[in-house]
Amino acid sequence: MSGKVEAEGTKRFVQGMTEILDGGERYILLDLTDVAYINSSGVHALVLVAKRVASSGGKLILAGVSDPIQKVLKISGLTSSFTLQPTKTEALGSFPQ
Amino acid sequence: MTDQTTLTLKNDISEVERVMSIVAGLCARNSIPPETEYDLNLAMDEMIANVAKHAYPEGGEHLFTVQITLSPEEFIATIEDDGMEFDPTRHPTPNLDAPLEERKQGGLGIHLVRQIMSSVNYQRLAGKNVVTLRKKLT
Repeated sequence: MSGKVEAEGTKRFVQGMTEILDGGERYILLDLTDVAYINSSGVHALVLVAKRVASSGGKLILAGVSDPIQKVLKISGLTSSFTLQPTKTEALGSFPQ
Repeated sequence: MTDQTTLTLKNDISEVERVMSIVAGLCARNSIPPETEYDLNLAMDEMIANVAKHAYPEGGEHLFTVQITLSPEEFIATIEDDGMEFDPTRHPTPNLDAPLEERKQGGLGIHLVRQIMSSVNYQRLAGKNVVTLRKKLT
């Protein structure tokens, strides 16, 4: 992912993730290293994906989350709802083998 | 020095990008740090999107205004629309303790704005919603 996770991009993001989850994937890594911005619509999209992953018994990890985006997640009361890893490599290592 | 911009916007979500681009220009001209620029962009994004999506439930094209003033001490944005009465200062805070599976959409944007700005004020004046956002910069 790159750029912004906001209103216009959110719909495409949720559609894409829904297709992936409908395809049976349960372990999802979202690399947000190149995502510079997120708003409340983007947060809601992440919540939707996290709900879907949780209901399938899978695991969602967010990697490379910038400080401003971590601040938005914190104000949204979601810090403990997501597993965050500093990098994609560390995130991949924390999935069940 | 004070940098001031007044915009007339349509009740269209695409206007958010226009406002964010103007905020980016203001921030660049005034050496605003990136973390503050993020907050200003987020606040304007949420408030403009709110007007565009909810102020005119009857549809059709409507115009509303945004005045942005940036001084070395403070960012001030005043958003005026003649849409449905809506006081963001009284909007209920979403349940932030709710587990993920009980999370619902709605109210989060306003909550974010109230948290990241120094103040949010509301007046209903002559049939208009007048919302003033302030963020201290010093």
